[in-house]
Amino acid sequence: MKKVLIIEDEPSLVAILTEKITSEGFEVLKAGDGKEGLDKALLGHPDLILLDIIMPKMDGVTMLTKLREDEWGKKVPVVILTNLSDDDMVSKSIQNGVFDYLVKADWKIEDLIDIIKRKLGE
Amino acid sequence: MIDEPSKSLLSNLPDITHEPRFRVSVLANTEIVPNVIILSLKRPSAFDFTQGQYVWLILPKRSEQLGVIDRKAYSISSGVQSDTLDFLIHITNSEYVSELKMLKYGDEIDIIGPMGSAFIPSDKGAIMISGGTGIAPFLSILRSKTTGDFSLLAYFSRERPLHNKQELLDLSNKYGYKIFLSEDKPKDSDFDSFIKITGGKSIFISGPQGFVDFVASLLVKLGIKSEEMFFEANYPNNEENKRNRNMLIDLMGVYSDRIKPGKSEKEFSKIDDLFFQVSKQTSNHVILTDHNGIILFANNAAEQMTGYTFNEMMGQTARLWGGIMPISFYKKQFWFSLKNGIAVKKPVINRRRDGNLYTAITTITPILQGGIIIAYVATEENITTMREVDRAKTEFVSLASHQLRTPLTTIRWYSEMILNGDTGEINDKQKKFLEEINKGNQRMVDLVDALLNVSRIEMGTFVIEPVLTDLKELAKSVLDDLKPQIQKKSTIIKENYDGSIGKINIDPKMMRIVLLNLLSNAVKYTPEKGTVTVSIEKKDKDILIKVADTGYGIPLSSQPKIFTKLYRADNAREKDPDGNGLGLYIVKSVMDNSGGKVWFESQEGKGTTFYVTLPETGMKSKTGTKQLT
Repeated sequence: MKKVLIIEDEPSLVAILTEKITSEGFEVLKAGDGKEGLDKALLGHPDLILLDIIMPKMDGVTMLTKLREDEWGKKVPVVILTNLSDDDMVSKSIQNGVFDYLVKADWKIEDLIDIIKRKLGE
Repeated sequence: MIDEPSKSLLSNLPDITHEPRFRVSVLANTEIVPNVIILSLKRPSAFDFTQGQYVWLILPKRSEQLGVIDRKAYSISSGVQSDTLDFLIHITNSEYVSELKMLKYGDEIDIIGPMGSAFIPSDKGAIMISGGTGIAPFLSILRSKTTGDFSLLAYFSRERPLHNKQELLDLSNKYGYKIFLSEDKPKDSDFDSFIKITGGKSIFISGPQGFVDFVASLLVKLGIKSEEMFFEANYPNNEENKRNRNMLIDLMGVYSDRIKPGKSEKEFSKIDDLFFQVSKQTSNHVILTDHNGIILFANNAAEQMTGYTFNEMMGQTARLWGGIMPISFYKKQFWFSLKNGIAVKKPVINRRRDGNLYTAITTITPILQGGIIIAYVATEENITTMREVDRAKTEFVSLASHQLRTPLTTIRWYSEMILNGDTGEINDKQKKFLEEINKGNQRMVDLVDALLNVSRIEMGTFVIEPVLTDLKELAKSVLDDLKPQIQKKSTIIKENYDGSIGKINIDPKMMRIVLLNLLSNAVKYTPEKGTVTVSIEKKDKDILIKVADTGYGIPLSSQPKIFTKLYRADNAREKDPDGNGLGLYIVKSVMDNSGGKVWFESQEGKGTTFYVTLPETGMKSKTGTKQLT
């Protein structure tokens, strides 16, 4: 079963994403901040990471930078899922490798699932 | 006649929230020849400079003891790729300089900068003439492997021999610089070959006053025009300068003596000093300089704004607190107009004596006498607070919109899942209600996006990045996005695309915003079973996009205001209470900023046609920090 790691600090969004992604037949790992997310990513080697940007302890851009320093972490697909659409941090994260970048409020959860499936080659 | 500032007054200025001040450690301090030291500092990683620039050196301990920041400006002599910042310093009797001489490995020193230079390395190259430590900015230019045809004539006295002869010769071999070194006084024959082959090139002269005077007089005799010569700290005391100075003194009459620093205010109490009092007491910064920019007078507000006393400013140039914008800025924005006798008004960032930056609208007016510029009057109006307020506004909008989007996402996703039946069957009424929740939510999402775009437009921070794009494919994909609305209203869509139009250089994100707004408006404000026609054709040297509908039309009284922010025509408000009045404002701003045009024709009850033109060559690119979404 393919694993998706959700790194997001908003509990209501984590809950609904978990519900939806699980119902689509994927295993879900969860982390509430960038630091926990990095630990879980390097330990659990998920097949895809959904990453929020503004989080406590460690923000998404820092997490992504550190992730890309890891041999395995260089290649794992990351979908940035944020409600920031204009931050300098985002342009910085673009330099950290290829990823999809979605503004949460602009997307249906159904469309997000399509992207996850496509990324996972299903 | 005045050269007015551009519309985007503030957006082109660099960010001044972070003070570019660095504490660095001394790597080496070597006396290379008597009374000349090379001070070598560790270059901070974030410190970028271009060749020829200079920095302020501040001795932290000395400033602490004195209670004021004591500093001097020095040209950077290392190349732009170097890991160190090197300064060539001539030791004088000044206490400050003697303390510089005492610095040793590991000591700390503050640097502020970098700042521009009068020495402009251009692709065309230049002839650089230096005396003594005046070579410092030129070393930086040569060591940076500047492209172009550069020549250096460096003069050193027998007492102070040239220490880096070999390096200069190596650089000359490596990059093809033409180098002439001499331990004698400059003489006519030194310049012969240089002037001949490099005719028309700018000549930069740097060194002690006596040297500058002497070289300038030699060059004038050789037929070099004064406008081809550039000086930094010292201007030659030649005939032309003397004549202009005398004309100015004549013009100023009694004031030329009275305005000197230290004169008591009481001396100016007579009625004929009224205008002098006006300039002295006005709340804006006012300075008067001679034709070389040497300050002759500074008023009270200038002292307050820059933090320098008139005494400190006297005899210096405004580069004491200026010079931190890119070199090309001063050249293009100021000197080109000023030299032609045209006054200039521009926003500029300057640095106070205490190191803090401020933004000022600077106006410089040349004073002409018999067709010759003999002086400049410069005024500055501090607009830093205005910029801060503007910034706070944008940050607020950005933050607020981010905070708003999170709960909006929650509402969106939860209601979507209930609607999709993920949580079990729902009845028709529940479905209808949830759809209303969804609709309201979508409206909020659109509003937040539009507000963000408006704030970026108003700050001028949005970017236009043209890439080759197929306009007709873009229009088709926008129509695809609008399918639900089109189907709901059974709108007939007609598409006319001129097949001969290939890909053109446009920013697809921007153009998408434009088309989406125009097409969704057309569908929204056209009754059921109406027709919306989109066409793309060539017109002269432009690409013309037409979006025509058979809708309600824009009432004549509303037509002049239709592109105004938040404005909505009465009939539009009636037909669709959900609109936010931002769409056409955004369309207009995008087109205005990209070299295009937008206009419309409309008749109430018959329909509206919007026209958008783009140059065949595509959109103008615009640099900024943010993209519109």
